[in-house]
Amino acid sequence: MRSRVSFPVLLACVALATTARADEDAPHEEMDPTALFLGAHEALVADRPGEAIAKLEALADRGVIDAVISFDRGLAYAARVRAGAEQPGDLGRAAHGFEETRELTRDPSLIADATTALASVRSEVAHRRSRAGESVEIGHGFSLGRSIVDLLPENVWAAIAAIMALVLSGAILARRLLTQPRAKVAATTSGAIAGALLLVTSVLAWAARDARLHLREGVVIAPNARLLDARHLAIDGIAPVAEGARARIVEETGGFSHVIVGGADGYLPSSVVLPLAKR
Amino acid sequence: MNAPCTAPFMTRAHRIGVRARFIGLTLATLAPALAWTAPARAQGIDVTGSIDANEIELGDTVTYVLQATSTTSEAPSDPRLTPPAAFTVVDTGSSPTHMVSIINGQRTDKHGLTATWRLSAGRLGTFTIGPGSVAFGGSRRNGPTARVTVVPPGQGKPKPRRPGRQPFDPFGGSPFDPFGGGSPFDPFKGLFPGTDDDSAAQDPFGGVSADPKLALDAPRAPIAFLHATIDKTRAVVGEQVTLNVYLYEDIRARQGRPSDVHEATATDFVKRSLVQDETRAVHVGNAMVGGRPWAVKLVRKNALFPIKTGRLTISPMSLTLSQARVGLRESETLFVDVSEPPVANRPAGYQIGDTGDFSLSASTTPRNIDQHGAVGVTVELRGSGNMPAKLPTPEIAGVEWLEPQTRDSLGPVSNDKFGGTRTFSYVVLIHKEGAVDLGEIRLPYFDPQTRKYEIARTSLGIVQVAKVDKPDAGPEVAETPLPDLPKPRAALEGKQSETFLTEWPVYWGALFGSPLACVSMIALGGAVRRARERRANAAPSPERIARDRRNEAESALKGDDGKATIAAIARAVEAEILASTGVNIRGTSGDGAVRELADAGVSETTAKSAMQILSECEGARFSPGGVTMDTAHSLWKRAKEAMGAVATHSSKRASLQPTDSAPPSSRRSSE
Repeated sequence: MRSRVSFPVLLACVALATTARADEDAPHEEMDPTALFLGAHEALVADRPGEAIAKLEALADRGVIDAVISFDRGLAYAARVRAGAEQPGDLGRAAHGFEETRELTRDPSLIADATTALASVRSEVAHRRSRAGESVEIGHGFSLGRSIVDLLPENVWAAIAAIMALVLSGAILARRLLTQPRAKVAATTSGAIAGALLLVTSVLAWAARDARLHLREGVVIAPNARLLDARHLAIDGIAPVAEGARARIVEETGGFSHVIVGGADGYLPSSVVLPLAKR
Repeated sequence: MNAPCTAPFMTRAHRIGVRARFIGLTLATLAPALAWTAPARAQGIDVTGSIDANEIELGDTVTYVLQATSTTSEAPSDPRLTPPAAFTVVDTGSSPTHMVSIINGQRTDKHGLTATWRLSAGRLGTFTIGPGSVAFGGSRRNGPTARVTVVPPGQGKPKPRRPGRQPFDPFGGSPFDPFGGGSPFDPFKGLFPGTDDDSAAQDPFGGVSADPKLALDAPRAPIAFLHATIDKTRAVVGEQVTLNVYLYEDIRARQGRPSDVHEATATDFVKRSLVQDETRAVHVGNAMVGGRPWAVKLVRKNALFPIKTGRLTISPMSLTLSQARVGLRESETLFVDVSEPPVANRPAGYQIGDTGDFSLSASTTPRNIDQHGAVGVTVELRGSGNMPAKLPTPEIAGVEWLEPQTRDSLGPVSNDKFGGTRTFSYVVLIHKEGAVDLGEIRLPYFDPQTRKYEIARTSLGIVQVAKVDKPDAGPEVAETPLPDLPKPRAALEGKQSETFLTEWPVYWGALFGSPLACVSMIALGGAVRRARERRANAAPSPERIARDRRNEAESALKGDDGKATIAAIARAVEAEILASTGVNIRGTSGDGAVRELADAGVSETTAKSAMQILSECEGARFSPGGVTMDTAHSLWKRAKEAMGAVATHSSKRASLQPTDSAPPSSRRSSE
């Protein structure tokens, strides 16, 4: 009888101690971003996407930027959609998390995972739009110039330009110093080629730097947002912007963002366009 | 209090006097006394009158009520009153009545008319008010007069508080108003004194002390004005800001009824009223404004919850006073600086705007259901502040929360706060079996009182779900969206510091500077080379030539070629003479050369000596026996002396003739 009484009491004590420990952990999580992230990861693994989202968004509120946080945040929103507890904008926010991951990370495997997940989210959006009879075009891609700039990292463009500058300098000196005609011709040819490449790669390096410093992009997180004109009236003849679409943010004024989405120029409420973090 | 009339209604007295002259003097003298108490009665009409006070203070008002009742089918109309010169009419009103009664099949009609004048005293003294009159039967019937004494402010007796509505007071509501108190939809009710029960009960001169908290330095407008205040100018998003709008009334002036009321708009706030009935103004006290007493009423009291950050504007409330010449009255435009709650220690899941002091409680019924069945979850949110419109429900696989129904019981609570209870009723579908823990609902919020984050939470408990093998009409098995998502990552990448070549200050300079530097270097080298060539090609100066020739001669003296040495000495002497005097003696005869040198300032002795040396040099050069080096050394010694003398003479001459200091041009003898 004694043991029967003491076992539940012991259980209660353990439960109380656990609760107290959990309470002790809570402020720790509030103070330490790493602990908060681990809590979010644990919630995500345990199929509690709501809790994971709350913690990951709290990390974002504190200004903590990390590719893995963005990736897990995208997964948490996607998990909430998959769990049937979807809230409006979840797919767009998931796409935002994966897009941000690709912007932030240099890890090829993480880029590959984010790209796969992004494709899955966008295919779901396209699936829903097709069921609604709307255009399924979501990813509009970049312009030719932007695509060329994005071919290589900024530092690679800069290094190539520096090499071309060295080659050009050497060619100029060689042409002056060498006396053999064949050597002079070789120096002239290499100098001309290096000069042209120097011009091109320096422009690309400058464009990459400009994009890094000044280009602001975001992801549309509202389903079927309509582009507005300067008077904030809906523009006729333009299909609603798909959820998860990437948009270039030109400027933000008065609660509206001037955006360019797939070549279309217009305004969207700022709350609809979630800016992407940069490295 | 209705004071008795001070004068009888004379129509009845005359009639009695004419018809009863033969009755004794006693009856005649009793007639006025009878008329004092009896209402005026003439041809089926009774006209009575009364005032609400016999003694008032300067600036106070007295109400004269005239009531006419007809027992015929004709109704009294057109009430009139000529006020004394010391009084001004603040307000008037009249209300006709018609009563039909049928008793034992006999119909009786009664028509009535009640007219009221509210008069404001503007001068001290005793005055007679009235008589008021009504039109009846083609003529006018007068009512009684009344006397009222106006005393200085502070010396009058306070007006007794009326226990209820005056029977003939039109501002107290019509006797036919079933709800009492006039129309409940009157938006101006209570805004001004004397227009409703509350304000009528207040006497601004009745000894009420001024409230210093309501005092202002100066009135914002004459007669009446609006004054708005807020309890704080800095707040966080969702924190309550209490807006009070007061109406200040000059109790010595008549205000009249306001019109065209515009509410204070606050588009960046959620606005909630903190008074039960916004149509009634509440007298909150008197205040000294600019040294004068003003009555103060609270016309609006709102809780404002800012919905965004920044400097937010509260637009003024306005109304128009029809009695005033410039009748528009506006309250102040107010500003609130709104910021976000602090990021530090912000709990996960906090939504901006959830600010206040909240608590949660929940109940779940039933606790035992079949699979794919539903339970009801009722969550009650209590507290004060900016109540969230929705709660974060726990997301659990196999548990589906439907949209809740919301019931509010919100309003003003203690300490001018807005709050109450908001109840969310959810239907929760459970698609999995077993003991399903519904988790908990947690609401992080920011408490503006303690400036800390708190979390209101409530546990929803466990529901026992019995397995159902084959549901009759189970839910549609929808295709699972977003399959094959990658697994989450557990390790942060960490901060990767990245340096960019293009940010180096020297990068762009080096990029284009290096080729340009090469080109510049080559160009500079060519320029230097060309300069040297030009310099080399240019004619040397006579001094330079003389110095060179001297050096050549000395070099030759070190050798053993006598003739060459002699020739070098001769060239050195010629060059020195040319450099010193500008006279080129080469190819010139001896006498001619001496003359030219003399003309150039060289003494004749020196000139001859130099010419002698040159002559000896020429002789030695062509001597068939050759020239010994001793001879050459001897000649050189003499040549140096001669060259020194020539140079000395030349310099003396130059110093004696400063205006002619320019070096002599190279003159070649014509000979």
